[in-house]
Amino acid sequence: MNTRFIALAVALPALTLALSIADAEDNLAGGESYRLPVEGYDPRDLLRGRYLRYRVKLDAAPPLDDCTGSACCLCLSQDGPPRVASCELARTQCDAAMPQRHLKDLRRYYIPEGQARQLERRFIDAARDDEADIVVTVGADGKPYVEHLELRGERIE
Amino acid sequence: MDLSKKLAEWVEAGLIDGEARARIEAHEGAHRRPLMLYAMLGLGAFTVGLGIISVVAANWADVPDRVKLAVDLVLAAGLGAATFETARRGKLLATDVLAVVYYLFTLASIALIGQVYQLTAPSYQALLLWSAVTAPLAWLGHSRWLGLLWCGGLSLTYVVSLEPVLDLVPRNAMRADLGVTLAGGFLLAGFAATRGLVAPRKPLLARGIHTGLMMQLLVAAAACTAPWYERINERELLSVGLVALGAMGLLAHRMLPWLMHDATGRARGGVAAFLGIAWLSLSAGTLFEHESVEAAGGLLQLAMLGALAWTAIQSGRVRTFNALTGLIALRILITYFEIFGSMLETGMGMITGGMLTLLMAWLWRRKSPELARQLGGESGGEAS
Repeated sequence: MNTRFIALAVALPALTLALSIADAEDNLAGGESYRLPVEGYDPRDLLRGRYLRYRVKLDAAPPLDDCTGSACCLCLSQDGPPRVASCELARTQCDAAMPQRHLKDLRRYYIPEGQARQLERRFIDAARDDEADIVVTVGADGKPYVEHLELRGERIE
Repeated sequence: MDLSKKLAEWVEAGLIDGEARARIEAHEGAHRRPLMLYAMLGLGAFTVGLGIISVVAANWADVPDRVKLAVDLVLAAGLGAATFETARRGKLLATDVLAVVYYLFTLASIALIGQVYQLTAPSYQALLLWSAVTAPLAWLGHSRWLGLLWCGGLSLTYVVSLEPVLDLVPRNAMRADLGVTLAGGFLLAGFAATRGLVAPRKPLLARGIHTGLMMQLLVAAAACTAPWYERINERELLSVGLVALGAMGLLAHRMLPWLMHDATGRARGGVAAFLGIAWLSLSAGTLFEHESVEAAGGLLQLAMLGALAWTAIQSGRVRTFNALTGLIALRILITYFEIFGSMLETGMGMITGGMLTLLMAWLWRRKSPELARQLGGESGGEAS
């Protein structure tokens, strides 16, 4: 078999993995961090293992204005809860604007199997007291990249 | 078949002499492939790959994320280098073992990156990336088990990736139509690509893929009787999908001489009948609203098994034919339990079913010498 093809066949997976890591690092390195309050529970994924399933809470503060569907964004700021606003307003008035459609990407936080039960209990307790947050970096296109989970101010990795 | 035992029997019966026996044994010994070794190597490589996936899924907390990623990249480079070296030197077996491990390792690594960076992209994106970047790697292989595994990986990717495609269609019925069309299209394209692209270059790899596709075809055909086992309402009716499947069936029928180039005309007829019954079952079961009709489902399954048994006997595959005959007998018994309800009816059903089984066994006993003669004259395929 052609040596070039063999080299391509064996290098492609390894290169893809390295590029995926570099891309993920780049996404996290770029921007500011924002804290989003969450609530949820703990199922598992066959490939990536156990995770806490959460939902970003949007009821902490009223919307800034009226909007519907894809015109809605989350207005993010360093020192306050996220607020729903029209993307137009969010992009001019807020520290960062995250299109609301990206909320469906914020659902899973992968955790070590050995600490799953304990973390699940801590997560439920903290979420009940509104002290569970997911910390994200927002890209230039408004896409969120998860940095870590915070329970009562403690970083969980 | 135990060759030594058979040869001893033939010598004893005066069919061959001792010299011929020795020549046959020498020929078979020189051409024998270590099937058990192949199977164990394939199973071992597969198990190692699954083990890596499981370790990744455990998300071991004692090892820092950066260390996990560094080890992962080093292992990927090591596996890549080892696979490159064995493939370059033409060591087929070692290349296949390493390719299987590397193939599954890549999936585990994509999952690891998703875990470490909390990536929330849907699973189909990870599977598509995996299938795309490992396709050349799988092409390095030569064995049936790598072909079977590759077929499984591609099929899994395809099925999981269907979900976002089906989400584009709003109505439930249209989703089902699109679903059956895409499933049929995948199988037809898979068989054609295996025959046209893979088989001429990698015959054993192609046989593995073919086996995987056959398994999926059997499951799909069995699923075609599913509408008879439940109440079908207006929202579950099919229309365009049945037309599309019918068109694909006709195309498959035209392609059968090419797809089954080494089979007899009668064997191809058996496959055509099998596909036709499956399509008729799905069509009749989803064209109009109806209550559950389990007996119809059972009869259609029997007809499909019958068509497969016919194909097996026409292909000279006696063991497959025997297995299918056993399945048919079992299905007949199950049909009795489906039809009859009360203990009296069930008891009567069991008596009738048992007598039917005895009758089949008697017929089998009477007909088997005739069958053996027929097979001996027609085919040099698999023997009992």
